[in-house]
Amino acid sequence: MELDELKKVWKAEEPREKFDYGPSELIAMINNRMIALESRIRSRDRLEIIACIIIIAVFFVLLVTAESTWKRVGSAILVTAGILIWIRLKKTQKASFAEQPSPDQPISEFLKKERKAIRKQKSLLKNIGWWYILPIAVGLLTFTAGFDASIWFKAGYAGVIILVAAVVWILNQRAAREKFDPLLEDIEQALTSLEQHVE
Amino acid sequence: MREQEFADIIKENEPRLRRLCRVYTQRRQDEKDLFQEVLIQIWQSLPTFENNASLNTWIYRVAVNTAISFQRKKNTRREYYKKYREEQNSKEEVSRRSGQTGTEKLDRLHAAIDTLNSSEKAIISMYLEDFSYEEIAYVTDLTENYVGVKLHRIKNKISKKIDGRNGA
Repeated sequence: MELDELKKVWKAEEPREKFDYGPSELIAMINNRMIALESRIRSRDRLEIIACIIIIAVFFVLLVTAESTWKRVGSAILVTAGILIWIRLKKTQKASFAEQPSPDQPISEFLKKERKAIRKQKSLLKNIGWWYILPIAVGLLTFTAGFDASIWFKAGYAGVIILVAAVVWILNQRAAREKFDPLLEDIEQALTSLEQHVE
Repeated sequence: MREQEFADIIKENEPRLRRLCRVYTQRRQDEKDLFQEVLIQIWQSLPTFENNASLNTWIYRVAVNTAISFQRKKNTRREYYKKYREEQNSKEEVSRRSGQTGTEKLDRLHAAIDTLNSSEKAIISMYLEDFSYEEIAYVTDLTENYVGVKLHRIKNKISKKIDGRNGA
């Protein structure tokens, strides 16, 4: 089948929905969609901030009121971790927004910038053990040491914390691979197609 | 840019933008969402237009990049995408692919284009829309000579897919 023949068929296809927007309706539609998108991003940001605030607030109170030194040290670690995680998340969000590739570039440039952004996101997820899981786990383990309970109870509790931390770490490593590796593969294929080889 | 001017530009480009959105999506709702996303990106990017190409070619470039990004966001898990392709024989997909013209040729063409990667889709879409090699080069950043080379390869790929389905 000749593709030139198919050009006629391609261009003869009528769109299933007619473009009926007047100028004001069109701009209103665009603005509404942008507002909806910004609202979704703000909701997601709000959830992260609320989680951090809860950790900071709860453990700050414990830092001040706990009698055990272990509990106070654990609380201090968790308050610090909460603040540092919050700062890291905010910085990452700002950087992601600023580094969004502009769609008016040539495809190859756009794809390279997308690839860079995805690699950064993957790296953040892969390193989550260091900046998210470890500080919280260490803080909780230290706090646990201050429990007024038998050594076996504390050991069991600590075991649960370590197990949960390990599971969360493994799930995030898998998510980093499953979510981002296919995207990077797609981009590499698309970029390879655009490479100019002399044959 | 005034609203009326923008609306006129979109109206002029609407058919080819919609056809592009079909190329990069699998579901009707995604096609509608992508079209709206394209409009947003064109509106937001218009202040950066530098007159180094025709406005319609520049608009197509914005649309292609938006579509590539949209497709990627939808295709976040290869399992999801594979599963969806397996569902392509569902009623919804047959009715979508048939469209108002119901032409078998067009269905086979779309099915063949589905197998291309995102930059190949852009090149063949522009070819089918009668963009010149110069304009395709502007969008892809390839040289005009290499656009010809790429197009030849993509056309062969598509012809094999279409003829293979035809039993030829």
